[in-house]
Amino acid sequence: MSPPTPTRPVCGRLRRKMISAAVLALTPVLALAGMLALNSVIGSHLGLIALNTAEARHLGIAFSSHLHGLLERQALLFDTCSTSRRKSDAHTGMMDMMITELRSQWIIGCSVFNIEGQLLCTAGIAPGYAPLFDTSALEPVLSGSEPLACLIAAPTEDGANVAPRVILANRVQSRQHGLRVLATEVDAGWMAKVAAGVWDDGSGPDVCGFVDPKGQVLLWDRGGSSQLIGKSPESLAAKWPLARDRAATAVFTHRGGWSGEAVPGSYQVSAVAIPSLGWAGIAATRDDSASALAHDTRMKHLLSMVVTALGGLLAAVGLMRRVSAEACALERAAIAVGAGDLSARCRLCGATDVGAAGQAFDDMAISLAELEQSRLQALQVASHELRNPLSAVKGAASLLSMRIDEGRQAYELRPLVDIVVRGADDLTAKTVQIFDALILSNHWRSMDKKPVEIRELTRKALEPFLAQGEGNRIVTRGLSGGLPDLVVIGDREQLETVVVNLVSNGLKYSMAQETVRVTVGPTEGGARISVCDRGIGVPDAERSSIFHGFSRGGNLEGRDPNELGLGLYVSAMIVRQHGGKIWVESDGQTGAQFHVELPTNPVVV
Amino acid sequence: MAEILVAEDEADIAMILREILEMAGHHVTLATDGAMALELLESGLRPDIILTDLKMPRMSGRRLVETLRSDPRTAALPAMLITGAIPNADDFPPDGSYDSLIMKPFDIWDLVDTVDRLVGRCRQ
Repeated sequence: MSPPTPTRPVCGRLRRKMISAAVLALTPVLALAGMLALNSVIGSHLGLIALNTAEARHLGIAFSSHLHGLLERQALLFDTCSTSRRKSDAHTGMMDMMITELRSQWIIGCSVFNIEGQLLCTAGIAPGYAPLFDTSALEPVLSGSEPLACLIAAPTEDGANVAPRVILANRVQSRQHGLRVLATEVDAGWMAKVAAGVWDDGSGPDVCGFVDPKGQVLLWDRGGSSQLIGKSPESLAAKWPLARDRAATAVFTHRGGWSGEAVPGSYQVSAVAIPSLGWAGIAATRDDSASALAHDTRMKHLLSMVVTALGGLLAAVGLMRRVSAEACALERAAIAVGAGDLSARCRLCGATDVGAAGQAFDDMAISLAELEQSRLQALQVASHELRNPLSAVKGAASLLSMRIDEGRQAYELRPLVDIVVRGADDLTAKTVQIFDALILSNHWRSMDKKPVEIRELTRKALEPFLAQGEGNRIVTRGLSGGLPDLVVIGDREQLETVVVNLVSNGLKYSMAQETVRVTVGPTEGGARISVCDRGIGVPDAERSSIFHGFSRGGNLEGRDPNELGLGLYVSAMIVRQHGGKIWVESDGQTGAQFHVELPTNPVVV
Repeated sequence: MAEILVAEDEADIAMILREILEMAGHHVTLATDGAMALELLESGLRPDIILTDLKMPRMSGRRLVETLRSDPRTAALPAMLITGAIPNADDFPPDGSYDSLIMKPFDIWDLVDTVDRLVGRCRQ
């Protein structure tokens, strides 16, 4: 019989459940990974902005402090120099004095304008120094709309030398000359040093600098090299809304690249306005993926989480596949056994729960097969045992019919009638034995179990043999009074049947002069009853099947063929139902020793 | 008339067989098991056919047939099995080692016809 194909819905159901369980198990991991990813993205973004904002504010304050000090010193020097030069009345000499005094302050050159914007005088460190800026840039200062102004002049296209120039302008009040505008060119290297102070510890932004209201952007990188970028105020305003409000500082953020400009890459930029100077300090940090990864170790954590989650998922899938395969094997075997193929096995190992269930199923199938084999054997023996008396009855009846037809006398018919009667009696007795055994095997739960003392029970069971004159053939050990009680929980009547069957067997298969020894004694956790005879013994081939129902086997030589072989079967059933065990020891020639062990606290399986 | 040796441990069935076969005109000798049947053969009995049960004490029908076939003096003796056992490899002698099989409970006329046929074939 071929095993039926398992129905897919059962496998599919189990697979869906396993997938659901795997997803459920992975949900916390996935949620945690998602949270980390979101936190990483947001944290990285906000962290860069916060970093740049802090650096920009730091830069603005540093420039503001330094430039304010410089402008105040310029104003003081101008007043002093102009007063001292009143005697000589030479502006150029005054400017020379100022340059000399301010040289330590990184001043390259100075110019003085009247408030109409007319250049009054100029002087510089380098010979032939000339201011290079467009005087219109001084307009906010000249008009008085701004108290101070910082201007960045456009670089001079002098071959390969493109150097940014920084001009400071302020309105100064001379006692003698009245209101003047003083414009001073500052060394860009000094400005770079101020900017470099922002990232002394190496943790500052990648780029730092400032922007003036005219759209000139001067940047320094970590190496100290400067870069001047000319931008129209409108374009800058589009990126950074440099509206001059009255707040002390304002944060302007630009996201995106500087493509087309002198600074490559993509930056997170923040600017802090310095209204007192009309400047904005800026700080920018690269935000490309490589830089972000290098700066943010949380990405590594995220990757670890993803790898871990994938590993867990793969493990879950592997486990699911294995469990699913085992479940399918178990299902196939179950369906096959259910269809009657008792040889079907799932042959699983017990490493998983399903595997353990599979092993239990195989054990159950083996028991079922043995039971089925036992029942088949019972049918065969019962058939044989019932056919013999049937043959006698049928043959005798046929002969009776013929004899009656021949007109035989009644006394001549008597032997045949006796055969019919004996056959009917034999049929009745054997039928009752068979049905009793079947009923016992199916109704064991109805046993009346109570505490039973085994020595007393055995003495009681032997009484019928003594009454029948078999007393001289029975030798007992461990049954005398005064010995400790051996109490087990059991059905007294059934346990007596066990003793009777074993003793009866021993007497039956021994020579008439041989004795049977009955021994009762304690064992670890119970009691043992042993019945030893010196009869024909039990061959090896029959030792394992002798306790099966109707299992006298094929070898009846030396045995009573009228016995159905149910005594040992019934005894084994009773012992098993008491949680005990029964076995036989024999060399197959010189007798047999039957042993029964009953536990004090039976666990019936 | 034929000389018939019957090996049957069931006394009533043995008696029935004797009645039937003698009614059919044969002479019957009874043995209660295979060992007794062999003893009768050893003592000089020369039957035309042997009828034997399978399950018997001391010596089973299977061993009896196997013994007959292994002895040149009885190797050709027709053997007929009469049994209530369901045929299986353990109880039955090898195929070809016996001539006929009758299952219990049997019809007396089938038994007589089978015996007559086997005896007639043997004599031919």
